[in-house]
Amino acid sequence: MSDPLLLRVAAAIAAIAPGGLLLAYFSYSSAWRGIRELIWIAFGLGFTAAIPIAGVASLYSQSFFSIADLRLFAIGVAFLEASLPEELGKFLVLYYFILRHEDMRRPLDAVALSIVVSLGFASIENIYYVFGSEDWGGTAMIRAVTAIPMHSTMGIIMGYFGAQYLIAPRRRALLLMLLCPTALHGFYDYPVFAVQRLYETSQGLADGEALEFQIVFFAAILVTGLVTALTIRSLAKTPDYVTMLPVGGYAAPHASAGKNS
Amino acid sequence: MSLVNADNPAAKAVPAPTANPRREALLADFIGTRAATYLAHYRRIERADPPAAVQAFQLPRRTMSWHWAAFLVTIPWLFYRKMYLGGIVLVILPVLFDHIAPGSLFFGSGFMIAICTGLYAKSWYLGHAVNKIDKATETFPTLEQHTAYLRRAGGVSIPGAVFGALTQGITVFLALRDLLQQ
Repeated sequence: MSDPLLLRVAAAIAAIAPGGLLLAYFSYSSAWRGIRELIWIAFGLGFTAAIPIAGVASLYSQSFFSIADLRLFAIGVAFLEASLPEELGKFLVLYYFILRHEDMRRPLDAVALSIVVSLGFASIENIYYVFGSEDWGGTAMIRAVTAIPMHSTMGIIMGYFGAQYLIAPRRRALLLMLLCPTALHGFYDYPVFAVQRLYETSQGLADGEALEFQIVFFAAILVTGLVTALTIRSLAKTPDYVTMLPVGGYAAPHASAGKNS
Repeated sequence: MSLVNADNPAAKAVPAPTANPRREALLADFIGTRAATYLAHYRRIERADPPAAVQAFQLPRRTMSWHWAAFLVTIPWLFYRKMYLGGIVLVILPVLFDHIAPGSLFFGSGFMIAICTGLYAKSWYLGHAVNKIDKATETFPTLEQHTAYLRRAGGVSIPGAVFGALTQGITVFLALRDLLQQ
């Protein structure tokens, strides 16, 4: 993007606006000062986490382009270059910084904060996509209605297992906290990367391929929606999620970050 | 129950006289590692301007002192000391500026940030600590709860330092690469 300064500022605003507006809503609707501060920290950490994740992923991302088979290539990029590092970044932020934070008062807060971490991550990802695109306005609009909701949904699912971990710290919850969003995110990305490669190599879509990728894409959206609905239902029905945690956060079995040593 | 963390040798090493021993004890509990360094700085502020020492927002304005770690490894140090908001702002702003005005990360903002952090690190950290102490006393009624809250809020974070180091290292590497490519 080699536009004048004003256009670059406009592009930056367009990239941050979808996540920023949701962040403002979360911040405005939280009553306690402590959790409001934590919301901003969560957004910022999600935003910041994308930098090391992008750096690490860029070390091996080129290796996928040598894969000739379309489906194998799309699986490699979708799961190993996109979903695993991205969800791992959000998971590490949530586990090491947010769940251990002294202002974490209820397990339910983990869900809201996980969404905010995802929004922060999606915002910086948006900046890179929007600035890297010729049609930055179109890219910003499309990503506002696809990538931002997708990241938020993954945040709900990750936060749900994070809340479970706060109630009963078990490794199973941690594992699901990482694996469930990674799998769903990968399935969502797989057809997108496959179609993108077909267009980049000017091969276009054959009829059978178009149907196949459409089915996978809509199945991924359907399954993600279903899982999200089930997690929200479970959150609404279980009173444990709104029970106050002990002062200073939960008693993590393997937490060392909060120690005064 | 003692106000000072009994397991913390750094807190014990601080000389006794102070205008506000309760606050200083809570500060020592909060700071943990190398508490004596920061408490000595706190005493200097307290002597120079007693009202400033109890107001978190006034602390950073008062005294400058040099902090090598904060100058050399600014972002990791901020995350190590759990000043997440400060660390985040100092990562995000240069990245945004660098997108809007390419090259700004090296021609000014990065170096200025490091110098300012080196000069004000101790005061900022004390301001952060006083802020947390005020929040603990406002929110929770008992001393046990204050201590539990401050022990979780204070101290140091190794994952934070690693995260900060990765973020700063990769940001500098990517910006340098872009700059060289241009």
